[in-house]
Amino acid sequence: MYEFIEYVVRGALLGVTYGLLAFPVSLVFITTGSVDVALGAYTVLAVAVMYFVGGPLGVMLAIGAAVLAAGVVGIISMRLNRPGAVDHLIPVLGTFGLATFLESMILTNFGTAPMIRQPFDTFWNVFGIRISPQIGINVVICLLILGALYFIINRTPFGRAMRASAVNPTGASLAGIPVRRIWFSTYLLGGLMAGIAGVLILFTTGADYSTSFNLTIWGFGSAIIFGLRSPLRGFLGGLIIGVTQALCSGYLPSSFSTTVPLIFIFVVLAIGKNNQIAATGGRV
Amino acid sequence: MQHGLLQRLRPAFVVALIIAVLSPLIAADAFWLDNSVIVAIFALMSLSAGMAYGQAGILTMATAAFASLGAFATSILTVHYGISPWLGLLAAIVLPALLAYPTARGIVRLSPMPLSIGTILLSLVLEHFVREGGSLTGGYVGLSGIPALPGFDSQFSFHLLGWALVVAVLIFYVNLTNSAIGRAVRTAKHDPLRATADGVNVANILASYFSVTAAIAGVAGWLYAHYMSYMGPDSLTMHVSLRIMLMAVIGGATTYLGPVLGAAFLTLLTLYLPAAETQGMIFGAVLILVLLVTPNGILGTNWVKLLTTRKNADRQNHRRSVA
Amino acid sequence: MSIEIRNVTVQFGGVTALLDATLTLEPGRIISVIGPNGSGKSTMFNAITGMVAPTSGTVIVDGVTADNLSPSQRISLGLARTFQTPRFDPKITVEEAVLCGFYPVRKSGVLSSMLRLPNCATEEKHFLARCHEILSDLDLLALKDMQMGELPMGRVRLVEVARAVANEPRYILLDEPAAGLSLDEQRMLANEIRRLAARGVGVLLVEHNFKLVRDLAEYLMVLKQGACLIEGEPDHVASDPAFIEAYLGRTA
Repeated sequence: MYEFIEYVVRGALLGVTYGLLAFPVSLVFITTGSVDVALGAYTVLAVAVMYFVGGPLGVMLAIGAAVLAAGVVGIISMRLNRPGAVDHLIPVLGTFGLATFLESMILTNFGTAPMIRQPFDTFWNVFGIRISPQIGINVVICLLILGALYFIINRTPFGRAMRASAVNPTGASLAGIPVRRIWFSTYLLGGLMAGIAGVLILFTTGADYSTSFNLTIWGFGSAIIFGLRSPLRGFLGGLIIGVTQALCSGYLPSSFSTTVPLIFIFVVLAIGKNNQIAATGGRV
Repeated sequence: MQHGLLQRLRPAFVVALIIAVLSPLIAADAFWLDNSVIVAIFALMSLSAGMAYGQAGILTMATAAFASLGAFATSILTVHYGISPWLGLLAAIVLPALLAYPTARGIVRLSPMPLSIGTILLSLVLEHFVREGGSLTGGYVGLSGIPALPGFDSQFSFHLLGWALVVAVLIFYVNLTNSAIGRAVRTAKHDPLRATADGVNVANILASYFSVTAAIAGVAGWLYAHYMSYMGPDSLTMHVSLRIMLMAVIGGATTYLGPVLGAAFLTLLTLYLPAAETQGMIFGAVLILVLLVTPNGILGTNWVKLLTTRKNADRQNHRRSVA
Repeated sequence: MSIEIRNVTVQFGGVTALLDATLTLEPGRIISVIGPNGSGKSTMFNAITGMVAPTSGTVIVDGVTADNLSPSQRISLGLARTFQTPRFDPKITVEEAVLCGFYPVRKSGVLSSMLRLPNCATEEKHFLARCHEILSDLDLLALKDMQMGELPMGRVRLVEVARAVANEPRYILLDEPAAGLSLDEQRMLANEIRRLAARGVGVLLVEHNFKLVRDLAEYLMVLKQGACLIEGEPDHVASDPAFIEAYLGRTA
C-alpha cells in the first residue's frame, strides 16, 4: 500500500511538470489551430542552461532562453500561418524543423550527458513514505501558476482578447483585437511555461538532449485527455500521465514503463471525440 | 491526368536514364557506390513519406519505424531462422502494411495535427519494442551478421538493385496516382465530405494508401538491413523519420521526383557537414528556408511564376510609393 | 424500386430543421422540393444521403433500409448528389473533377492500379471516354483541361452535375443546380435533367427558380420552416392561395 502511494506521489511530482507543458499545447492549438512541436526543445534548453549555470541567475537565464527560443519559433510560425489559413500542417512542419534545429544546437553545445540535479539530501517522512521535498516545490509552483493563468485568462482584458482570437480570429480582428500580437504572445507564454517546467524537471527526473520529443509527447498527451480545447484542464491530464508512468515503472517490467503510457495516449487520441473532423460540413 | 504510357511513366524514365549515365562513372569507386546505395534507400523512404503527405495529407513521422520493422523482419528471419532473404522481402512488405492499416484507421478521422502525433506515438512504441526485444531483436546491441542477398555480392549490384527498386516504386506511384483510387485519395485529402459524396469511404482509402506507403518503407528497410548487415535500435529511429519527411518536403512532397531529389540533396549535403551533431541544425534551417520561400518544395514550385510575381509586385509597390 | 423517406424528423439542438417529411422518388420521375432559405431542403438531402442522422423516421433505398449505412455506402447503392455550394479542388482540371465521379463503379483494386493491369487500363480508358461524352452533353468539352478555379460559377455548377452523373446513379439529388446560371446554361441543365429522367434516373431537385421547376417537375413539395406546406402537381400548387402567399407574395 505504501509502495502504491509512493509511486502515485512520484508520478504526481513529474505529472505536475507535464501539466505545465500541456497548457501551451492547448493554448497554441486553440489560438492558432496549429501545434508547436518544439515545446519539448524549449524545456530541454531550460534544463541545460539551469544545469550549467545554477542558482537564481540560472533560473532567470533558463526561463529567458526558453522564452527567446519560443519567440523565434513564434515569429517564423506566424510567417507560415495566417489567421484564417486552411493548411495548418505547414506551420507544424515548421516547428518540427525548428525543434530539430534546437535539439541539434543543444547537442552541439551541451553534449550527450544526462542532466539532473538532486537539490535535497534529506527526505520527508509522511506516514512512512519517503517523499522528496521537491514535490512541495513542484506542487506549490504549479498551483501558483494555475491560479495566475486562470486569473489572466478569465479576468483580464488580455485573456478575453486571447479567447476571442481563438474562437474567431477574423471577427476578433475586426473588433480591433491585435490578433497577430496575441498569437505571438501565446508562443511566448508557451516558452515561459516550458522554461519553468524545465527548471523543475532538472530537479525531478532530469533530461538529456534527446528528451525533447518525448516531453512534447507527454505535454500533448496530457492536453488531449480532456480535449485539446481546455488549457487549464491540461494540468489534470498531466497528473494522470505522470502517475500512469510512475505506476507502470513501478509495477511492470521496465520495458513497459514508457510504452504503456504511450499506448494509453494513442487510445485516448483514437477514441476521443474532440479531435475529430466533423463529418458534415457546409450548411444544412 | 497523364494518359499516354510514355508521358505517364516519364519520372521513372528520368531516374533510369540518370542512373544509366552515372553507373559507369562510379562503377569502380567504392565511396560513391556506397553513397549511391544510401541515397537509393533514403529515396525509397522519402517516396514513402512523400506519398503519405503529398497524396493522402498524412504528415507521418513513422516512415523510419516501418522501415525498421521491415529491416528487423528480414534480419530476424535470416539470422535466427536461416530463411531466404527473398522471403524476408515478403515479410518486409507485408508486416508494415498489416500494422499500418489498423493504426491509420484508428486515427485517420483526426484532424491533421493529432494524426501526426499519432504517428510519432507509433514510432516511439515500435522503438521501445525493438530495444526491449531481448535476443530476438538483439536488444540494445542489435543484430549483426545479416546475410547478403544471394546473387548480389558486389556493391555495384546493390547500387543497381537499389535504384531498380526506386524506379519500380516510381512506376507504382505514377500508376496509382493516375487511377480512380489515386483520385479518390487526393479528394479525401482535400475535402473528406466531397470524397464521401463521390462514394469514397474516406477512412478506408486513406488507411489503405498509408499501408501502401508503409510497405514501400518496409522494402527500404529490407535493403538497408542486407546492405549494412547490421540492424540496431538506433539505426532507423523517429529522428530519421523526421529527416525523411524533411527530404520529401524540401524536394517537393506532391511531385514524383521531389522526394528523390530531396533524398539525394540532403544525403549528399551531410557528406560535407563539419560534425554529425550539427546535422540537425542544417536540416532544420534548410526546411525553414524552403517553407518560407516556397512550401511546395524545389520541384513543386512554379519558379517562373514565383519570380515574375515577385518582380511585378515590387514594380507595383515602387509605382505606388513614387506616385 | 424507389427512394422513400418516411416521417423523417431532423433536430439540431433546439431547432427542428425538418419535421415529419414523407416523400417517394421513383426512377424516371422528376420531383422538386422548393421553399425559402432555411426551410429544410438541404437537410432533407443530407438525411437521404446519410450525412445527417435523423432524429426519427426512416430512409429506404430500393427496398433496403438505409438508416445504418454510411454515406459512402448509400452512394454505392446508386445515389448521387450535388452540393448547394459546389465543393471542389480549385487546382484540378475539369476532366479530373468529373473522373472523380466514377469511383463507385470502379472494379480495380490497389494492386491492379499500381501495376496497371489490363483490367485497370481498360477501365481508365472507358472512364475517360464516358467522361468526354458527359462533358459534351453539357457543352463543357472545350473546357476539359481548364483548372476548376478558373471557371465561372455557372460552369462550375454544371461540372458538379457532370460529376454526379458520372457513376450512372439510379437516383440523383440536385441541390440548387441552376443558381447563378445564365439562360443558356439553364436550358442545357434542363435538357440534361430531362435526358436523365428519360434514361430512367430518378431526379430530386431542390430549387429556388420556380419557372424552371414548373417546366421540369412532375411533382412538387413546398417546405416552410421544416414542414411540408403543400404538395402536388406544379400547376395545382401554383394556384394554391397558401402557397402564393407564403412563397410568391400576395401580389403574384
